[in-house]
Amino acid sequence: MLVKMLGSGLVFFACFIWGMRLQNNLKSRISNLNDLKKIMTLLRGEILYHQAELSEALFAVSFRLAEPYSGFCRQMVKKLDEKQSYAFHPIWIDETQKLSEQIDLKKQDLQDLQSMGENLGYLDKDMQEKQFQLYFARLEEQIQEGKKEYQKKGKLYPSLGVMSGILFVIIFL
Amino acid sequence: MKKTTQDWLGIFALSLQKVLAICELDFSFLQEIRLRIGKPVFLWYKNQEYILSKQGGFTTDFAQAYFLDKAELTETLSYISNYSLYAFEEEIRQGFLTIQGGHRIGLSGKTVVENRSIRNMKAIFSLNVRFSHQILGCADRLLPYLYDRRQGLCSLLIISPPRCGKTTLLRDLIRQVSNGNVEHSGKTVAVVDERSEIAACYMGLPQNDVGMRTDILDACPKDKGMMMMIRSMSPEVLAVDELGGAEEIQAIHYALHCGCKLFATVHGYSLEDVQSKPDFSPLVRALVFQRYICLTQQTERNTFMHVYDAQGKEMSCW
Repeated sequence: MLVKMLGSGLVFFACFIWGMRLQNNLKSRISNLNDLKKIMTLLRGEILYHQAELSEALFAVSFRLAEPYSGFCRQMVKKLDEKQSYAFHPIWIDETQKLSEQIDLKKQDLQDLQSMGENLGYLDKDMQEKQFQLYFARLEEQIQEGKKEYQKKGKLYPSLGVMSGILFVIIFL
Repeated sequence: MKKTTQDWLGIFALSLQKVLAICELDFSFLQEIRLRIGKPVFLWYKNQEYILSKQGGFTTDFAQAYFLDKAELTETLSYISNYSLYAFEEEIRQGFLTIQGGHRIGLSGKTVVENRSIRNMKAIFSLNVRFSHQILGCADRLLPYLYDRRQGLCSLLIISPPRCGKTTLLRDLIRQVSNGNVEHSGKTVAVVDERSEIAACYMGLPQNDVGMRTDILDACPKDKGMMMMIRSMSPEVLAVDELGGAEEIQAIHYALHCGCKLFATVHGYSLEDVQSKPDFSPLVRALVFQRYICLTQQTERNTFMHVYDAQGKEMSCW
């Protein structure tokens, strides 16, 4: 009986944690999107006002960011300086993919971030400005959508975790 | 400061890098590499023109030459601009850009003109990569002629056609005057490095040795930069490369009135040639420069150097 009670307790606790984790994912996605907005704002400033090259801009921005974003910028700088690809985009795709494994982003968020880098560095400053504007608009949409989703599902997930925990316990007992 | 093979090779497309690496060129003798879409790659090496062969090395047979394709030129352009063409908008408009190391890349293609002024350049067809070399001590023989018993350090104008090494000479003069020596104390030198060729600053740090008392204003138009440096850094010597415009000549007058000595270079073949230029003749007549250095006719790595005083009297030649 003691083992059954212990097992049920563990199952209940795991379900509760699962619910909390889902809630936390929603919350941290919004926070991560806001972080991306901050990075892009800094990057935009370096590119448009300092006329910095991409590696120079990323290097300057890296000092103003916390991990994992700072590491992401430094890794980008390293690859750009080593000229590891014929163009900027493949390096951007590779590094944003690695970044997405360390933060909570949806697949669509990552796709938007990656396509943003497609034309970065190309043509003139106007082109860079338009790329940033486009991405900022998209980011704002994603943040609003994330907030709505959090309002809708934020409280649901922990309750769902508790309820499913109780359900499993009943079934097992 | 020593340039490795990787440093200068890194600006070319990977396929071209491989072929150039086989050549095992001595960078200190490499002057230019000319790239044109669909044409052979030409190199200026040890003052001679060579055609790059497909197998690496040089050839005289066009059938064996390495022909550059469009993708390779685009890739090279991408490396040259550090994937950031937008950052070189102004330079591209002028037809050249200076990269890390102070190397100058000339561009030609189709210009985009708006209201009779060049807005940009598209369809870039050819590149001329001119390598910058720092030769420490190349101004050693010249230095004694720069100091006058009465006036101390003299203002100086270096006159030279392209590819004779006027920037290299100016750079070493700046370094030596800035550092000083046993006979002469070091001077505060302000360099207005419009094309980043003198100090070759990268992220604000000079990559060439320009002396310990040298302040650099990088990528700033010369006329505005000279005024700024005089007001802000109170230099004893002001150095600029490739004087040309009327505004720059005006800025020189301002600098001289402030008691600065001036080191400058100008395109030309002789002192007479410079005197015949409308902007420069008043400067020569007003004895603004106490020394003129004319660089002429290069053989291998030697340049003939003539030193003239303010009146145009030859002081020495070697």
